[in-house]
Amino acid sequence: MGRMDSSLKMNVMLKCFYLCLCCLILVSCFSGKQEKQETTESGEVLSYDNALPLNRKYSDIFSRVEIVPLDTVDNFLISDICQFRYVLNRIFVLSKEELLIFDRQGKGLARINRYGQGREEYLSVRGFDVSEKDSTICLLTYPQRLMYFSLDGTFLHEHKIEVKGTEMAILPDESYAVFTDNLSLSEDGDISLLDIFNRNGKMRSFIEGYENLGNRMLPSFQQKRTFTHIQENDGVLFFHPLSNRIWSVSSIDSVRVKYTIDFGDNNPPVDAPEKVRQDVMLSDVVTKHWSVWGFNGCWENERYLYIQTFVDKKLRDILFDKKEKQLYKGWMKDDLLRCQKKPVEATDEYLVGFISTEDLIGLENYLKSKPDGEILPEQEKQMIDWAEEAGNPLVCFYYFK
Amino acid sequence: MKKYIIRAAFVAAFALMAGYSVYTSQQEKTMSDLALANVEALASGEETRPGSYDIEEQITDHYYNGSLYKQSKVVNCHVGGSFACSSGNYYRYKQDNGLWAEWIPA
Repeated sequence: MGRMDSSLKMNVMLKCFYLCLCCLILVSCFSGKQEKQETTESGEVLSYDNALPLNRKYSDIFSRVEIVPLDTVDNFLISDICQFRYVLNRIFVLSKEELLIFDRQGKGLARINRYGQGREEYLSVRGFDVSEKDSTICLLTYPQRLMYFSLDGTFLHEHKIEVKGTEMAILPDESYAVFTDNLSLSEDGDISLLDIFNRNGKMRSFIEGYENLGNRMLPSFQQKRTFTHIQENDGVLFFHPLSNRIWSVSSIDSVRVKYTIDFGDNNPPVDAPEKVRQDVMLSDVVTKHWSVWGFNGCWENERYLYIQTFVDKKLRDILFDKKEKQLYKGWMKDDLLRCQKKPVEATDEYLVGFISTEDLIGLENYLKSKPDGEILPEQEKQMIDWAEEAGNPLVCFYYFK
Repeated sequence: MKKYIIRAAFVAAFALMAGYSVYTSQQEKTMSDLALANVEALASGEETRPGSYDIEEQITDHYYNGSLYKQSKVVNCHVGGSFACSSGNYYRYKQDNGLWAEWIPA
């Protein structure tokens, strides 16, 4: 009898063991399917769905616009503006492999072109910034180096860096931030989008990259820009084409999400749904699978935060009026110039941007193709004249009211 | 009684597992658009070619007075990467019927 009892107990225990094993298998099956989630702060959340229609025109916000044509003498011809800054009363234009410097009136002052394979030369310039503290220009180059120049283009010094990037910004404490553009040098596969180096060479990485896009540069929309400078001691804003977050970056220890534009169910994913083959265009993947994308045109001052983005395949202006605490969405009609410009950065006095040569020529062709023609304002006629001269891009200063 | 409970638990567990495996196999049959795009790229004969570039793609919508009339695509090749790349500029116009014309090399 006692033997039978122990045999029965053994049998029950065995069955319990199998049951537990089955449950364990089931639990592990389900837990393996959990999606990767990003646990980060959100900063100030601005709801796109609750935004009011943007019925404002440019003339409601700006009193006038000043156009500065850039010098078209031989050494200062610009094929395309890759990056742009207006600082220290000078206009800085990165075009292909050279940096061109113009004064406030658009007259060419200096040109930095060190393309080559020798000492103090580079194969490509990926980004640049200008230090307001010591009036020096810093180029982010390939091979990976930072090269420093004076404002007249004289080479000062250089040093190697261990990061690959496509844009950079000098921060108020003279550390520098590099947008890695989803390119990783590390072999462990970890990709971060923002690396910051301080003066002592210490480096920290921020913002997880897109592993499924396979160590490839993120496509950009409208303009290739991920930093915008704000007030002198506040550092820069960082944003990138696939995220609805805007970060404030002021030092290696101060990177935080400042704003999140909340699109509800349409918020961008934290990664592509599957790994993307190398020969599939990433821009096709993004425009097909993301509901919102292209957060490339952002600026901020005391009164406004502005960002341009694609929502449901349409380009949209998003304007946050900080004074009214109100978000607006839609299309802000530029009744001052009627021409498409690329905004870059703003102060409380003005917003600075540029009109590319391509847009000028396109505008001219478009107007010529109109059968009835249109009566153009004087300033626009002048722009068409500049386009006909096949000149350089135009810089425009929109002055706030 | 205990025996029946244990048996019932076993049956339920196996039924759950079987159900779940059928469910997952059905899920796998539905390929996402992205996976399909990847397969289409394979079928079109394009091969993954290693190289020494990073590829930059930029898409721009061009507007005049609020209306979209042109789209341009720029592909730039940056040395120092690991992909094959052919740089180029392309554009296409919006036709009167609202549809896009074909991409044209600039």
